[in-house]
Formats: sequence, C-alpha cells, structure tokens
Amino acid sequence: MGDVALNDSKGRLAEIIDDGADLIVVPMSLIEADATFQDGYVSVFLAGGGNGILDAAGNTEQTGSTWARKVHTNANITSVVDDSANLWRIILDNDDIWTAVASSNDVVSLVIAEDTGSDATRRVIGSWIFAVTTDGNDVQANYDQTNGIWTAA
Amino acid sequence: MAEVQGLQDAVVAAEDVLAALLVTRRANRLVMTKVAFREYNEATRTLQVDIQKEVMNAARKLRDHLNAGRENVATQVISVGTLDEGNRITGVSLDG
Repeated sequence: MGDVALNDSKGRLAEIIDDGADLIVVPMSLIEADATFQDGYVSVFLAGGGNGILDAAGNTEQTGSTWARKVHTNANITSVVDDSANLWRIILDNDDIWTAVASSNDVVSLVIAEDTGSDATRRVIGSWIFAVTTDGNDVQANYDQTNGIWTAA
Repeated sequence: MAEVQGLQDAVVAAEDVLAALLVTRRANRLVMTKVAFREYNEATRTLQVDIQKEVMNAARKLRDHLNAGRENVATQVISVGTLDEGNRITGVSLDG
C-alpha cells in the first residue's frame, strides 16, 4: 500500500482548489490494494448508489473512538507553484489531531476528497498512508509544509 | 468537571461556527457562478482562517487540560506523505 491518486482525479485538484473548494480528510481502517483503488470504481465519489469508494467492501471508514472527518477550508489550503522544482503543490496548512483515541481503533490510511456536503458528490482525490496502532494517546496527522500532500508537474 | 464542560462547550461552539460556515459555502457554491464563488472565497479568506483557527485552539485547550490529568501521554505524530500525481502503479486497469 502506498500513497495513491485516483486516476479519475489526476489533473483535477488544481482546478478544484483554485475554484475555491474545501477538502475533507477521512480516516480509514481498511483500504484496498493500490492497483484496485486507483481505478477500480464506477464512481469517483465517496459513496452513493453502491458505486462509491466507501461502498466497496475493501474500503472502510474508521469512526470508532474519537476518529472523525476533518474539513480544511479553502483559505487553509495553500496552492502554490514551486518554480525551483517546476512543480505545482497543494499544502494543507493545519495538522489534524484526534484526542485520546482508544486502542483497537487502528487506521491504515487517510482518504482525502473535495468537500461538498454530501458523500454522493464528494470527489475522492486519493489515499495517503497513515498507519496508526491506537493506544489511548492522541494522534496527529503531520502534513508536510514544504512539499505538501500533492505535486503535479 | 465544570472546567472540562466549559472547554467541551467551547469546542462544540467553535465546531458549530465552522459547520455553519461550511453550509453557507456549499450553498453559495451551488448557486454562484465559478467567478462569483472565487470572488466570494477570496473575500472570506480571513474569516475562514479565523474560524478554523478557533476550532483548533478550542480543541487544543481541551486536549491540554485533559492531558494534564493523564500520565505518560505521548502524541503519535504520523507524517503524511507527498503524492506525486505522475506516479504510476503496476497493476491491471479495470477500465482499460
């Protein structure tokens, strides 16, 4: 399992962010193999009609203990051209913190999607490795403030 | 206990403000043109940052207060990687 983009979403994140969209981070307790995840769905949305990412048996959202989705509003997302590397980057400005996550509520990845208010229209961007064995302590997702979560050439 | 309740209430209140902002943003996005929404988004950048900051600050205050009463608290800090859009994964594409 690696960091993997949904093929259907490649090339779209720039437009999504520049158009003012927010992003939502979804903790996952189960995620499918990369090759399946990247192009194995009828729908590119989080859920709906049995065809979304969360509708697949191999993908399960983690909602136990204090796990919850986190929204990053557009103003808290940096969209920037990195001229030194000839890349375009998306940076989440704020880390996410889940407090006192009880044991046996492990996660394996974070799925990030465009936030629209409904899973049926939340376009999934990709899945990022986030392997945590919970033990009652806090969990913090540390987003890279230099390289960001996403680059496109 | 009253202090904890107060901090929890502050978290809920901050999250309610964020939720209300999200509802407004989503509603506007549905009815506005792309250009109009971009302008609206730019005009509310400071508000968005302030509201998100308030949510984080309230959550941190509650966490710090709770952690003060817990022994051996150690936050698990997990780095989230950078996904290169150009990455190719070896696998069989289901849609050709």
